[in-house]
Amino acid sequence: MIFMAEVLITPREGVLDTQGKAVEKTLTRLGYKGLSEVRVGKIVRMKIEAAGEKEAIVDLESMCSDLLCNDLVETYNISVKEAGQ
Amino acid sequence: MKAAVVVFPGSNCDRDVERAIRESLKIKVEMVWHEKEKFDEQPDLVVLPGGYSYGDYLRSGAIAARSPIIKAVREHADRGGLLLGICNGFQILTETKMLPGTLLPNTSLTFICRECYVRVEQTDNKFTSELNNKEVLQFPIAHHEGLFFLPEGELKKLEDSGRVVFRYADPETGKAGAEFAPNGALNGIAGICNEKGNILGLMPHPERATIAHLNGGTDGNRFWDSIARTFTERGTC
Amino acid sequence: MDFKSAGLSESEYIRIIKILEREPNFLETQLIGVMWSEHCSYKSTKRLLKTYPSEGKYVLQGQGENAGVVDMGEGWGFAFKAESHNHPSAVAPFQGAATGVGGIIRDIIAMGARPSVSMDGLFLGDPSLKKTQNLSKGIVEGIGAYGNAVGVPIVGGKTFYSPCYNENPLVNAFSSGFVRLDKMASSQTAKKGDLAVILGSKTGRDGIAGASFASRELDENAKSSKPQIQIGDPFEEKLLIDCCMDLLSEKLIASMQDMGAAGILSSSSEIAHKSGCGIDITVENIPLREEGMAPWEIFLSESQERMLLIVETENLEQVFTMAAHYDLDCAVVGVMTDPDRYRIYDKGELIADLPTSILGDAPEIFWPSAEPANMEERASLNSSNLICNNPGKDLLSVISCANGRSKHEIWEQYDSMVQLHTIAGPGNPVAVVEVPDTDRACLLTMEAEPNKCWTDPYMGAAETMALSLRGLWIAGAEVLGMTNCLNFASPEAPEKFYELEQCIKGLADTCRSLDCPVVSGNVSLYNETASGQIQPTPLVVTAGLLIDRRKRLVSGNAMTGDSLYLVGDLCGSLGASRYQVMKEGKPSGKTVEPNHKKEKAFRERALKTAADGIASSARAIAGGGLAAALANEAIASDKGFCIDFAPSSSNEEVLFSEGGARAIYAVPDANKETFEKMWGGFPFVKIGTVSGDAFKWEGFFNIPLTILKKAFTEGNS
Repeated sequence: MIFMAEVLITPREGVLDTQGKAVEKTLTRLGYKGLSEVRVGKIVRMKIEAAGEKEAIVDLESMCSDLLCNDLVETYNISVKEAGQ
Repeated sequence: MKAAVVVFPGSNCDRDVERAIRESLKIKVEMVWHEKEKFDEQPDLVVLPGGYSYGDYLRSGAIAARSPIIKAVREHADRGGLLLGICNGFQILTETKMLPGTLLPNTSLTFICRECYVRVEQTDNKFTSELNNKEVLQFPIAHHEGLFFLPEGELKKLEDSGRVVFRYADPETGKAGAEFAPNGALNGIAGICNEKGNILGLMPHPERATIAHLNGGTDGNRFWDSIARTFTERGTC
Repeated sequence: MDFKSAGLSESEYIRIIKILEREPNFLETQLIGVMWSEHCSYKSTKRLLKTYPSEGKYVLQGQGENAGVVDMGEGWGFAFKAESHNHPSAVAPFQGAATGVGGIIRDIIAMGARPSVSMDGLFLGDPSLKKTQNLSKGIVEGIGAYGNAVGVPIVGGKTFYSPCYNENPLVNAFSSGFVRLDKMASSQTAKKGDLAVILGSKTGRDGIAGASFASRELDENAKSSKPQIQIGDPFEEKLLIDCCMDLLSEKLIASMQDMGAAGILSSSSEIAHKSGCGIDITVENIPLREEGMAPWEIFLSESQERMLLIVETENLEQVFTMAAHYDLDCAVVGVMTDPDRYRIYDKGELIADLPTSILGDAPEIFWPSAEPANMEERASLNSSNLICNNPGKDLLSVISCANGRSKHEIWEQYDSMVQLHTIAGPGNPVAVVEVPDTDRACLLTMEAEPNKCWTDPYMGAAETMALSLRGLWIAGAEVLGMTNCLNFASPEAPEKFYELEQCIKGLADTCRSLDCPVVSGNVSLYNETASGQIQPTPLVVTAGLLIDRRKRLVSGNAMTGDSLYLVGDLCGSLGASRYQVMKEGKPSGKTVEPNHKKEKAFRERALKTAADGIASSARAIAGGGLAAALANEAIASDKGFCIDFAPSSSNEEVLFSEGGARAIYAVPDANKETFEKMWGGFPFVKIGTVSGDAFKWEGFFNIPLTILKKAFTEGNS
């Protein structure tokens, strides 16, 4: 089966996120109120072939620890949905 | 001493560091393409140069850290060989986990290229043993991701084990620390080594402070000399 | 046929039918339309550019190639060129500026040179406007992101602020490189039977018809034209550089051309036309990034990081091997044929068949020229507005205003040291790099004086050019040649065409009489929006050579105890000076009348002063006049200056007037006599000494160095 997968990578709680801080500061300067904990992350999107959803997730987790994510400073969230045929 | 510089696609200080070592130490330096799985001739010093390996896409150094040559680089270090990562090379070393920590974007969120002072924080390693403790050197910096980061507990461990080799400093007072870091590096850390003292990563560029008639100064020669003397006096392993 | 959407005029279309003896089909119309656009054809300026002096004893390759090449000696050539990327940078500052850097670097590769040195000319609007700040941030980050990653140092540049660029900022990218003379490449050496190979990125829809985009005014629809903006990938470009250098050193390339404006179309037709061949191209062999692209889109696409190589059949396999080593796409897309046929095949079907000459030789346009009605007003100076009652305060304003202050916040974002050959980088009046493996040095100056070109296009351009030469002479360098970027408004307005014509004349006359050939260049017209037109902005970059780099006379090296001399006339002109614009808010008044005899007398003495090593430091008098030159020199030298010279002219003229062959020198006591003898026959006066820790001028001011430095580095905003 073919799945559409999305890996959302964000800075870990407590890790200095310079980009998030800058975005928060600028948004506040632009007049947006009540902002806190702005984080800037990235999304890796892909088509992946696997026997089932579970297998796809196992693959993606392995990709995250092998390359996509630096576990010292980043966490990830995987979402998978079937892409049809 | 035999030196080798690993060339990744997107490296751009490879030729610079080759020239600096060649002219400073009068030795031949081998250039090794990242796709090789081993060194033709086992070097004593391996350098991972600065630049934008693989365009620094995903994370600085992340893709280069997964190159075929890295296995051989790791084996070289395991055997006690000298391994030096400068700038992007330092980022690659942290990505391979051969050195702890990571390099985050500078606090200014801008690239910074300028002269920069670092203080020698320890001399009990294979790179700075012939330098003076607390000596301040000028090595230019040029990076966008130079903020050294480690979670608090691990940072303390790193400090306590005396593995901080270079710290950003003020040349006038000789003081060093976070307030002198141009990039927001925690504790003003500019360079660190592993426990055995044979792997060193640093953000500033000693190769840019090597050729006398260029604009980066000459302090780099003291660093190259120190490496060479450590090697000839004590051997690598 | 809808020739208008292809950017053609009715008369041009009629001409095409006459040449072809038939109506062109849709694809052919598009192809000709783009090649006849101003951006590709220089149809409005070709005849003016012919007036430039092109010959010189150091010129190896003049105008007409991808870049000019001058002789640096010991077997080294130096390829250099400047190019504008104005319209893209106005619409998408980061990508526009980044791809500007990438594009000019490929021009240098195309000459066979390893790109070694870049510089950038930025012309930005009122710095207090949010819009300017955002544009500036994007442009600087874009230049840095590309230049830093691709590993070509940015060793200097020019940043100039004026409200005339509020809506239409200018980004002029300069790049250059060293090439062994026996490895020089050319776009004129393809032969029948050779194969046309595309190396680098796949072709996508980005930047389609960017050339015609650059050939009209920026209008309200500019934002909707965003899809035309190309996206740059410096990583791919770095691989492209390394791969091309390897291919050239193995002599595997017969001819080459970068793909800039109008991509595959212009590169392939130019190479065929200049080589005296024809070419057959097979559309389906072109690697594409997107599906369903029409042939015209493929041919006009300005996807970045592509080179067109012409390869002899027997070398093809080695070329593919090298491309694979660098993980670059590489495909044979065509073959060189008998002269003057440009043919495109799509799965065997002939879909375009044109003479290459029709693509290469656009008909010229002769726009009418008329002196602007307000020329007299522009040129007149109201001196009563310019009285200087507080010289100290005025000096601090002159060195801390946007155009006077240090630009380190910009250039620290650029890697100025990579490649390990920078001798003097940004912040110096002259950028200096080593000529590889020699004791020689290559020196570069970049200058632009838009205010002076506004009040008098001829004299302003002449002064711009002379300024770029003086910097080199003072340093002791032999002048090799110049490249220029001509940024102007629409040539269709007679007044604007007049400005263009006069500026080119000013540059050409100065270059001719002061022995500086013009080896390459670029013209950017239609720099205007509904809210206004830019001032005439010719930017020049001049290259010089020092055979012994140790004999360079530097700036910022005045030594305590040195005597300070002013050489040249006591005053220049306040017209369109930094001081005048600061006082009045807009430029008025002419700069100085060009005086080539005086320039030559200055040149002779300046070169000798440097060669004999009798001064510690020197600096040309430029923006901000004598006072700013002294202040900048004091700051750079980190030394106090004590001026005891009581001038007879007005305060403002002595302190702040600009223009003409004038400079300051710091001379050690032991060499004073020699120096004075050397400058005999030319106006000079000893004005003070290097001493103390303040810039002190009897009767004017006494400003501590710390305050001077703070004003200069932090600016007044």
